[in-house]
Amino acid sequence: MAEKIFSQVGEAEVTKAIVKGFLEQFYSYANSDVIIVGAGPSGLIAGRELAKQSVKVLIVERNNYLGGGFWIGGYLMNKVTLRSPAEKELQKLGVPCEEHVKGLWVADGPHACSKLIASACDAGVKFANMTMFDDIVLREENRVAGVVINWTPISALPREITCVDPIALESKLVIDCTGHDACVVKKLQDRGLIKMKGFGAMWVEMSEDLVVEYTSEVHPGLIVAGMSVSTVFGLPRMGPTFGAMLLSGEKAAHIALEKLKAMG
Amino acid sequence: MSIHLYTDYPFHNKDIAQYCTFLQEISVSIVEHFHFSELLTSPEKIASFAQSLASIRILSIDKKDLNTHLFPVEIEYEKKCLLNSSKASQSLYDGFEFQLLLRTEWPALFLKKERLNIILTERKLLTFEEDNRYHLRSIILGFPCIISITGIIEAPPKPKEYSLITRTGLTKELQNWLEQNKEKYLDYNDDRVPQVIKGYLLQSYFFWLKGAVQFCNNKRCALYNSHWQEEVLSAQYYHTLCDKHQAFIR
Repeated sequence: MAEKIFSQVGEAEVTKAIVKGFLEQFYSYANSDVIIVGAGPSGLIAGRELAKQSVKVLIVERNNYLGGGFWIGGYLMNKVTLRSPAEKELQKLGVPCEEHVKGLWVADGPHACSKLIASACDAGVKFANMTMFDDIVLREENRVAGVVINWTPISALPREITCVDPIALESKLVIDCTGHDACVVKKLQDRGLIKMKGFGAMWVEMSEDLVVEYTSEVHPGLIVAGMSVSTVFGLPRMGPTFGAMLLSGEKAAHIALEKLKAMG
Repeated sequence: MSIHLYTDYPFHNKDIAQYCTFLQEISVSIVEHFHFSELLTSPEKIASFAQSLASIRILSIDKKDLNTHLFPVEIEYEKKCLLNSSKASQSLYDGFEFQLLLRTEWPALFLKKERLNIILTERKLLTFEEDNRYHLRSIILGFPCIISITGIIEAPPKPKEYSLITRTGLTKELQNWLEQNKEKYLDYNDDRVPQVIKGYLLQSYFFWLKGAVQFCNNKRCALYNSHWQEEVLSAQYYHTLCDKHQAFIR
């Protein structure tokens, strides 16, 4: 019999391996320290920084792919731009950056995005991709205490054949990194617990500083980071620059760490 | 008569003495300078003023909606900027509301008609105009008169050729134009800014003298209502008056 390259394993074992691996992780992460909704650049950075401090982090992402808009700079062109000092974040990851004009850096989108995802995975972040955020879990005094999720494909099927109840995951904190949609904060708004101000017209120079400044806990148990900050606080939109995404994610992680410490 | 000049920024501090001397020369008055923080006499005053500032922040430049539902972080940010004068606020504020806020918070100071009060600020102040959108302003005359340094630099557009190149998307050409035409526009840390500020100090002084906004059609007079950077550099930069207005001041 001719020698084979790969080891001999049957279909059933492959299935068992997938199911076991997935369920073990899912079982464990039904309770997390922090759930981040949105695996764009701010969510990835926030998750990575928390995981580096041994915080149990799960990132929920509605798409199959991670990285959000970080693969592409803008207008389907795959170069991402960052204003100083944000390029240092990419340089730390070993992503080459070129200074286009003083203070504005350009990097290869796929290179930057894949390295960022890898760094989050290396730090210990776990992901629930193809998973749609459906609602929030509220506890005493309306503290946010987790998220309700469902499979993303459910939303694409007719209701009469997909009456599938969602399930819930608990966490001490939730971080909304869902971009301009600010999906998590919107659920609080739907219940009259918060009022978002909506993002304004593009003004890159002003918006980036403010997005970082306003990254904060907007409601007990809920932190906003990245572009959702501009929607919540009525800041100008940023356009295809990513510096504030990275620094806002980092700040959100620091805020979360402080909160977790205070919780004991 | 006396003039009070308030500033809320540190980086041009070396220039404040020359503004005071200039105002003294044109008005033959006693000119006193204060840092804006001197008005914030207690933690409660800082907190209430920070809250008021957050509430006049503009949320969208095409809507006259002010910020009614405040989050704590918005007030904290304003407080941080008030307490640390090297940290300029990046927010946009309604200019008339800002003026009104100063009068409301300190009526004894800013409603005093016997004194000219001028606020020199780094804040970005905008006013809602007839075209239903906010516009950045260099100066807002009234009680008090407010001169915005960021407004002086950013509000008047650069020459038309600059905006035409911007629309072509040719970055290198744009950089070249900026490099080669520095004399045609103002920039941050530009040595000419203090001279331009003197032109706006003159406008404030005339407003106070006449009790009304006083513009001049002469493009070399500091009272000319400049809309373009090049006009600012020919009218306010020289901070001199036309014969007619010079005669009035005498």
